[in-house]
Amino acid sequence: MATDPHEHAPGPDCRAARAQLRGDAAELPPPLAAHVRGCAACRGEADRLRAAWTLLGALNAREPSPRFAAGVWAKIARTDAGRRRWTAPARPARWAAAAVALVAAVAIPFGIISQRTHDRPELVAQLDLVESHELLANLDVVEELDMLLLLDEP
Amino acid sequence: MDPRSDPDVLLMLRVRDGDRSAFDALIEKYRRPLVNVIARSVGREGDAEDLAQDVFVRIYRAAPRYEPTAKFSTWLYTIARRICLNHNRGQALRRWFSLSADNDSDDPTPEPMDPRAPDPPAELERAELRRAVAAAVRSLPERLRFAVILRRYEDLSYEEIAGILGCTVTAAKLRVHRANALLAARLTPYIKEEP
Repeated sequence: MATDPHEHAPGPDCRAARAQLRGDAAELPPPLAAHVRGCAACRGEADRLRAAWTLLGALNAREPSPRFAAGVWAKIARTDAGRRRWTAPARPARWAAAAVALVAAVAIPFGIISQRTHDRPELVAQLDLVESHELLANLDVVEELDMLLLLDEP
Repeated sequence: MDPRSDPDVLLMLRVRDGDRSAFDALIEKYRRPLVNVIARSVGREGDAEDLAQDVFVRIYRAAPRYEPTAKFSTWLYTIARRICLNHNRGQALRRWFSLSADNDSDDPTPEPMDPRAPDPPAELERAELRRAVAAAVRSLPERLRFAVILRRYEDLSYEEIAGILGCTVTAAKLRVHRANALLAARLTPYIKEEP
């Protein structure tokens, strides 16, 4: 007879327990620790989360270049110079050039989008799908309110 | 917490008063963590220094109006997050306009292998693991990615992370938990089973 991995596990139920498991937690609260000790499935999940947390250490930290600070000051100086140019008495040609650039910046992408979506209707469908997926992935959807309460426990 | 109890806030107040050496001190303290947070968030180390410099430029520009309402690091990483968001959206738009299916531009700058490494096969394995971890982190939705980067690599408290992300402490914990679970799923081939 197969053994139920959740049988005889004390403390919170498995769903609530897994909501509390964290790879960054050095120790588990006593009720959660007791459940994990008695539940093979949750113990496996806790081990996986800890292992993944540890694996993140594979991304080594890099040292910025020695000229990083000099680069910051150079950018500040460049933006200062740029601001001085634009606050100088305006010339009609400069304003005309800026207006043309603004119109082009709006019209060209709009034209490209119109043309491409006209030619490739499946692109429109794919974009909608991508946006929906991104939206869903970023929603903080909580399945059960009591999971939130458990997360607030010290 | 009174922001003025933060020594970095005091430095920033000196920057506000025109003290360039105070700004140099802030750059020196935060350049390394900032570059690494950004590199892990955008996935391209070549862009990370440039973007990190932009963060400091914005801070310098805002100095005359600076009024401390939080820790300096909260402000710094909030700006960094916005810059990463803009950068990633710009990259997505560029990929879309090019209609390129080639995602090689998403790959992180590969680390050069040291031919004198004592154990080349093990070094290859480590390099593969680094690429896999970088790709897994990059694949996370942005809200989860930034939260787990701040927690795992900068060891920020959940209170600080919540301040940076503009969410509650509970939401910050939830995001890190979700990110951890997603990463565990994506890194399954590299997780060794306990005997």
